[in-house]
Amino acid sequence: MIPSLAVLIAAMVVSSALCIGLRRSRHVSAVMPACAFVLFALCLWVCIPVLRGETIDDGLFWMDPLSAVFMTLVGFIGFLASLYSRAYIGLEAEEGVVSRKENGIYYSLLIVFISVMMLTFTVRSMAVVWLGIAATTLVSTFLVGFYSREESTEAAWKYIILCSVGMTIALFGLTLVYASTVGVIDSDSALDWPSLMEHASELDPNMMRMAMILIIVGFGTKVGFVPMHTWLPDAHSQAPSPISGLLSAVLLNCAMYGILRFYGVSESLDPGFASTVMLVFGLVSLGAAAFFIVSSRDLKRMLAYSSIENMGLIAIGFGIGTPVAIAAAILQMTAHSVTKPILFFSAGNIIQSYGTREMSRIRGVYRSMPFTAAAMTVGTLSIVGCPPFAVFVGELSLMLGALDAGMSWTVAVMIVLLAIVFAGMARNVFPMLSGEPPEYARDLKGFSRTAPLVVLIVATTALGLFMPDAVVQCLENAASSVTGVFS
Amino acid sequence: MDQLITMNLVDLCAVLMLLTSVMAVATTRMKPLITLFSLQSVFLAAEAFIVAYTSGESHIYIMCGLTLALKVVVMPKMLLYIMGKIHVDKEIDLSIGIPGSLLASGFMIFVSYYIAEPLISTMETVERNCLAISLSIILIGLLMMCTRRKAITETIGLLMMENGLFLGAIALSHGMPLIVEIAAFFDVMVVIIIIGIFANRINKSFNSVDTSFLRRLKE
Repeated sequence: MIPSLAVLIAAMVVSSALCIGLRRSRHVSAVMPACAFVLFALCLWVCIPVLRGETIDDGLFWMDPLSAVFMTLVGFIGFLASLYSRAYIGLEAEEGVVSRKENGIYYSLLIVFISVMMLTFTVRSMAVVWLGIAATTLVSTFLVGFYSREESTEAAWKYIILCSVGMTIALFGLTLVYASTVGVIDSDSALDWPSLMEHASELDPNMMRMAMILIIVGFGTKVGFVPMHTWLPDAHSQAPSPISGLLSAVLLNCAMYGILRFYGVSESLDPGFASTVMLVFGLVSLGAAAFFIVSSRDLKRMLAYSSIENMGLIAIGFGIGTPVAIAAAILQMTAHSVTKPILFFSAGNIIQSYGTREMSRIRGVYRSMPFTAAAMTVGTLSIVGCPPFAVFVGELSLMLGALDAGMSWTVAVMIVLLAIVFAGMARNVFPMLSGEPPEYARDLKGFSRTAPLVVLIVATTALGLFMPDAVVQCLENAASSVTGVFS
Repeated sequence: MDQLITMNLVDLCAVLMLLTSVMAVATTRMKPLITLFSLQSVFLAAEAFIVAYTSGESHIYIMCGLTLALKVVVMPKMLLYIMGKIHVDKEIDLSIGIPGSLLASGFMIFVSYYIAEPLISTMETVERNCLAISLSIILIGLLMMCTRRKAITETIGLLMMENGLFLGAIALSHGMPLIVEIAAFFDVMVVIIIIGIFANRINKSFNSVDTSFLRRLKE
């Protein structure tokens, strides 16, 4: 077994056990972010050689640059969310909203959640990937329903029920994929990515088409494609803010990863089919989310719709289907993962200070909490695609990819919808920042509250301005492991 | 001759599962609904046994045992226990009436056969009906989840969808790799849903499992 991967998995087991063991102690809130940092460091150790183009191929485990991109993002955002939790949940514990017992449960679930997401990207068989994605739902349900308020329970209930239905449909898709491999691939390795890719052109095309629809609809429920998205704004708005950031930035990617693997197989067997389905879902999601962003009144619901919008953009990238567009979609996904937590974390600061999520009741953030307001401004400008931030580069390369493929009408629709998103976000966010703050609004300070925001802002600016060659190379490698089959 | 009997038995179990699904749609009371679910699971276990016996795939026997233990015995008991404990209304709250639901189920079966036709035309004879039937059971389960308003009925809808799924998985592929692990995971997940969210949370904060309370989060 590859030593780095073995150490990473051992670290996951040890840190989960440690946090669960320490759940009654006060120190768990310091130990858990430390564990998350160790996991992030080890995950870099595993991923960097893979990102450079190596493949880990070892028994149950198999990683290529695509899975490495996803896994690095989980490690990075997972660590920052754990650090931010220390401030966010810490304050709630001080105020008595969260008891000592709940505090322990929170951190134990969080480390298990991060570990399960990481493990999902290391395995070879897609049945195990399915298990991993389903397990993330199970763990995160309890984080979504963490506050035992009526609304949180409702959000958790909708989340688990809708996602379970989605996972059932996706599993039916997997069964059909398996049925289409009978006689082509040996039954023990029939659901392994490498053998599926190798034999992609020999599969039964009818069976594979139906399987692809079921898989896109099934996993798409968890990605948040409209019209299966109804759980997403509820879950994102009711979960504690660090969890909202984690759900939006990396959990949605996990389900997208499930789709992407089959997308590659299906495109090489039957070019144009899976990409058309993705394009339709992408455009519908983008359009619906643009409308909801303009009309939302709840801060975190608006951010949740913005995640749907970005997932739509990513799906459009895969819908275009050229290697350029696929690389752009992976870039857009990375940019979204780095940018969205800025918004959720600063929204968390604002919500804790003002005690409400209603945007019309929040005023004067610049006066009361200057740092948070600055972060919120950068986050908003960044997510709507202003230069010089990462999302701008992502959206621009998506549009160039679409023009390159001769889909000028898609670009036209995208520009109109992105303009609506821009107007909606600006109209909703900026009035909150200006004006006179109410007396009860106070500034919240602390290392673990500001450090994650600073790191993320530096990351999104650096990605937008400089885009190191090494990163470009990684993204190209990742894109070629999606397209590798058919280019 | 032997193959003919197997084929008929496989089809018989699948059709009985579909029948219980349709009957579940037509039920207005909670207890018969739970009974119908465990009956459907019995047929699923029987199907698994027949396939395991004829194909010689020993891991399908495990699925048969798992279904018998969890879905026929444990889960219905648990649902009944919760019902008794938190005084769920014995009537099922419908948003579409029985005739409408039955008509919709009929339509679902029709659609399933229509979709499955191009796929099964190339397949071996034994599994021909199973794909269409498992798709019908999944769609009918989805229909139940959409039109019944209580948390318990939503859970039973999900469980019936799963039964349909596993019918497809067993019959189509003679048990794909990891199917036992997936089935076990699914069952554990549903048990956790039931215990974790239902009995504890919903009960504590609202004293009822009627999901029509689940309509607060809106735009």
